[in-house]
Amino acid sequence: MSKYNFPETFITDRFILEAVTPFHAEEAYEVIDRCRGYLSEWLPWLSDDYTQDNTESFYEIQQQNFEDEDAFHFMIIDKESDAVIGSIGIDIKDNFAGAIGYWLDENQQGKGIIAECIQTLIEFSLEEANLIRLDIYTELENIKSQKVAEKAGFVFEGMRYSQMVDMRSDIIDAVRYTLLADKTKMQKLKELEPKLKDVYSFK
Amino acid sequence: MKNKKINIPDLFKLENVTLKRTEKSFAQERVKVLHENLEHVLEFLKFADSSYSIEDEYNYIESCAEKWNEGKTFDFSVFENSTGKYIGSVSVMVKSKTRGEFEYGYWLAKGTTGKGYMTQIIKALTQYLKTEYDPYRIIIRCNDSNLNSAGVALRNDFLFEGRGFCGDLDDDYYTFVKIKNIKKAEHLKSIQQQLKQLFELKI
Repeated sequence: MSKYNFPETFITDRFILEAVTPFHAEEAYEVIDRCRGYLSEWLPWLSDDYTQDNTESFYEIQQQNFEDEDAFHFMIIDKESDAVIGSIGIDIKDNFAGAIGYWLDENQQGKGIIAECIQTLIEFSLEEANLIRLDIYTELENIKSQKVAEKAGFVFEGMRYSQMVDMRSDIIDAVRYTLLADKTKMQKLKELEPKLKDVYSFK
Repeated sequence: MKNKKINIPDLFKLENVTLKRTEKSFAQERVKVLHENLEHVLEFLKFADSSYSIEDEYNYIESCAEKWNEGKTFDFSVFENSTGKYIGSVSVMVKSKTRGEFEYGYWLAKGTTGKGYMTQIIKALTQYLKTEYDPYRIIIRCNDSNLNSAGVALRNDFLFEGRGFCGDLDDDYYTFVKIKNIKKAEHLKSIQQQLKQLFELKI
């Protein structure tokens, strides 16, 4: 019996979110490879020797994860051009709690694409799948991603030291943003946020 | 640590307790003790309820064996040396081989707490992990009402990192961490009191 009931497709105003399968690997890799220099700054898995085979293997795993309800990863497909332009997904971390991750074609930046897609996932996650918490982890220097999180209504919850690996395989700190289904706790977190940023010396 | 398969010994014989890799022969005793301590356990953990059966336990132990063989989670049954009785459980979870991150989960039967057993266990396991794997990060998370568990973490020189709202099935939890990076650990140490105050950790 399905615990979270994630559908395999979401439709937003401009995009289709389609559950990843190995079928998407070729097209996704074309984008990843073209934007390698840009994407590898924040995606530690995108090493110099990352290939289409790696993409296919990863998408096979994600297809199984979708079935097992351990993670729900989607390709972002532009409705007009029918082209793959990125990926967004949720990894289930605890019972009814997940972490959101994404990447986007360098040429598609600044158009509110992730904001649109993340909103769709958030609405479903909190209202239909009954997730109680969503997190976004970013590197300290990844200001763009932090702004995406903030615009989507996430709140800075704290630092997690030595919790991420960067592209040089260095262990680095993670900034954690959180969105809660519980409005009272969310309000409490919002009130704590400026003091938390101060204590963690987060600007 | 990245390419090293994680292996933990089946047995840790300590001063007052012995950790044994959980196996089917322990099932009856484990279920009996769980039911004798259900109210105590359910106060902070949600892995069982009054309907938990020997069948459930056999299934659980089978999944433990799988995860152990995969090097993902190492589940131990704790036996008190003076009585030979089963008194609780402790797990070592590999959160990330790439990042060198582990997490502990544990509980002890009522009547066996307050004797320093879990402090002893965490000390031994941490020593082992440090020697064999030199981890970047070891975590203990506990329900924010579980001050006994928080005490175990602090007595083992874990540092308070923050509070997660709405963790496992809606409870808030505290995160304690041991970080390899000395500078970061020093920084986290320097903000302990402020964090405890902000997150209302009264210990």
